[in-house]
Parts: sequence; structure tokens; C-alpha cells
Amino acid sequence: MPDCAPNRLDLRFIPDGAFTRMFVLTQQPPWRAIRAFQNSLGQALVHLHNVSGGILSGDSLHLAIEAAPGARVQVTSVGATRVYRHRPGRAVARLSTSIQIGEDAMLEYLPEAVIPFAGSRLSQSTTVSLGRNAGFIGWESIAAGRIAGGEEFAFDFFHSESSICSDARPLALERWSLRPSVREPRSVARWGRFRYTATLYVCHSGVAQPRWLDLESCLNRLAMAHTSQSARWGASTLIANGLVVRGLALEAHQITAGLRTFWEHAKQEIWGEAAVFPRKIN
Amino acid sequence: MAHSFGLETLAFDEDIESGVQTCPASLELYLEDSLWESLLVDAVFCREAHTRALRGAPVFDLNQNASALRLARESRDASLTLGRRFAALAAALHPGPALSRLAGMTELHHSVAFGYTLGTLAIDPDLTVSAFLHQTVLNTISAAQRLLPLGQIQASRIAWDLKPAILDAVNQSRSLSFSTLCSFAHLPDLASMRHSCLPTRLFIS
Repeated sequence: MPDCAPNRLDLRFIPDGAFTRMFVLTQQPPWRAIRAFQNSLGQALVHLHNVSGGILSGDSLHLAIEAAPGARVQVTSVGATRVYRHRPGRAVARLSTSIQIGEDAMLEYLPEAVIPFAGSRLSQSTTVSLGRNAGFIGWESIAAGRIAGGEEFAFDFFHSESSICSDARPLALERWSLRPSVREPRSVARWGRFRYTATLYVCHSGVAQPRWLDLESCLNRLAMAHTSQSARWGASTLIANGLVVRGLALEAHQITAGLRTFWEHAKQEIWGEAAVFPRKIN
Repeated sequence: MAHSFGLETLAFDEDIESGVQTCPASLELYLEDSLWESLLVDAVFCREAHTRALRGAPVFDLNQNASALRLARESRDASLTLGRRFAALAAALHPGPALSRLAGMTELHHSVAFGYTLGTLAIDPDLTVSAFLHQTVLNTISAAQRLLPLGQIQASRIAWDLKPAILDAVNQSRSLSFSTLCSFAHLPDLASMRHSCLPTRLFIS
């Protein structure tokens, strides 16, 4: 089937005094962003909903988030992104996310895990563009499948592209494709014996390299403390303006706890403030 | 000190098996799969740099992309160090404006330096990429000999057995673009990130 125009959710965040206000420019099903809350840091916290419960074959979804200069934003999802089994004759499911962060703005993008179900096919892309003196914290965690049901690397195809760029240059690029039936994902050259992978990016276009190197040392000490037979963590400065933390684990809770710990430390170190975990149910 | 590009951590964590009987097969499988992932990325950058040299085009963006793709600092720094050294040596051995300009670049990855230099010398592109991959694989096997119970005959056999996979990667690199190629290497990336924290280290990366 030919690709159709994506169903869009376009959000714009603009500072308004001590707070940041959200404007929903476009909202097409299955996307839903009901309202933005103000958290204790004055960030506008918004929960992204997918009312169809997951990503279906043939879906083409686009999320655009713009943080205007000076805005402070935290975006999360209400639950895991489930990628359903591909239906014959339908197009590969597509999910694209575009995040623009204006001068002096700060945005946290903290979605729940992506779970590719058996037989699913997904192509996703994420682009982050940082303005001057802008900050970004974002994470992604991916499960090998519905682990509790004994499903591991049973998806057909998972393609992912992500980029983080400042005004001056690309800071981080990732492009990968996994086809478990063609190439063994459990290879030491790929995913290894783990079931979950996670990546956390911490970027600020106004922070110079020596501070990132200091933070790398600090986070790597933390990484060693969190590393065990069933979980591994490591941190590394990017070529400029940021740092990446990567984790592999056998259990989902290890990923959740690890990401939170590294996020808290990095935010305190770079922004001098606490990380406020997005409110979900209370 | 030499570079292992994360292999030392993989050996330390026993992701590459350390048994006398199992180590050769484990290492060979790792290298064979790497030729479809991280080493294929290097192959494509090498070929693109070769093409740019023939056209006299700059490689500034290639190096920026390579730096952004190599997330692990030690691995990135190792590639940059080797690239600058290779270019300086090439410029000294074969003086000329193209290689002098190349040697003057501060951000220059090994794959780019290698491809551009051999392109400037009008060496066949397939041969260039083959030579780069062959050298990289041999360096990794050499590192493995210092980290694992791997004898000379076993090491030579791995290098010999990997030649078809190297040629596959060379063939693949013809049809791939540096701006769209894919590589999933989370465990090796993580190994490179964790390398600086190992209790003892034989290698820089």
C-alpha cells in the first residue's frame, strides 16, 4: 500500500511569566494531548496519548514539538509504545518525531519503552534541533518483545534513525535496522544476551566540553556501581555539547531505575536543579 | 599502547568467550557480525572519502558525521588519532597539496584518511576498502591475542576464514550511502564507554 499523509500532533510551548504554556496546533487521531500541567520547576508537563493503544501496521504518525525561546518543557507518554503485529498488505508502521528547542529553552522527552510485538514492523525517526544555549534531555528504551510472555526478538523489522544537532554541527547520529530472522540480534556485535536496551542523551549547546568530561567520569563511576551480571551501563561525552548514557539489561526495572538515576545526576550537574519525575497516576 | 575499540571490555566481561576451546569461534563470530555493523560503517566512509578524493571534494561533513555516529568517546578519539597519524605519514611519504590539506585537518577519522589518501593515489576503490577492512580485522585479532588464549595459528585461521565476510562488506559498501547506512552495535558501544573504568587496561581504547 502507498504511504499516506501522517497523522500529526503539533505542539508549541511558549513561556508565559514563570510558567510555560502549551498550544496544540494540530491534533489528529490517534494522537491526543489533553492539557499541560505545571510541575514544581515551572516546566509544562504534557502526557502524550495514543488512543488506539499502540502503533498499527499502516499507521503513519508524526509528532512535532517546538519549545520557543526560554520555554521549559517535559514530555512523556502515558504508557509503553506497543507496536502491533504487521497485517499483510499494510504498509510498515511509521513514527516520526521532530523536536525543536529554541534559544535558552530546555526540553525533557521521557517516553515509556517501545515494545515491538511478534511480527511487527516499525520504522521510526527522531530529530532534535538545539538552538543557542538550549538544553535537551531525552531517553529511549526498547524491549526485545513481550518478555513476560516469553516473546523475544520475534518482531519482523525495526528500523530507527535519530539525530541531535546544534546550530553548528551534528552531535549524535544513530541509524540501525534489526531483522532478527536475517541477522542474530543476540550477537556480541549487536545486543548481546540482554533483553532491554536504553539510551539517555543529555545535551546543552551552551556547556563546554570540560564539564561534559567531568560529568562522564562521574556518571561512569555511577555506571560501574549499577553494573552487574544482568545489567550494564556506560557514559560517554559526545563530540560536543552533550553526553550519552547507554544501558543493557535483562529486566525492565533495571532500565527504569538506571535511567532515572543518571537523569537525576546529570540534571543536577548541568542545570543545578532536581529532576522531577513526570506525574503519571497520582 | 594500542587500541582495542572496546574488545578489551568485551573480553573482560567474557562476552567474547575466554575458554581455550571456545575463544576462537567466539571472536570470529564477533568479527563476522561486526563486518555487517560497525565495520561496514567504516567501509562506507572509506569508500566515500575515496570518491571525494577523486573529485577533489572536501571531507569535512564526512568527518562530522563519523564523529556523531561514534558515540563512545574512546572509540571516537582512537579513530581520530589514527586518522591524523595516517594522514601525516601519507603526506610525508607522498608530498602534495591534497594530502597536505588532509594532514592539516584536526577532525579526521581513520576510515576517511585512509580512503582519501588511497583515492588521491588513484588506487582502486574496492582494493582500498578491502585493505582498510583487512587491516582493521588484523588489528583486532592482534589485540585479541594479547587479551585471550588465542595462538598464532588460530589467529591466522580466523583472519583467513573472515576473507569472504570482508569481501561481502566491500560489496555492500558499493551500494550504501554514508548518510543512510545502518549499524546496531549497542554492546560494543557500551564496552567502549566502560573501558576507562576497567581495573586494568592493556589498551588505550
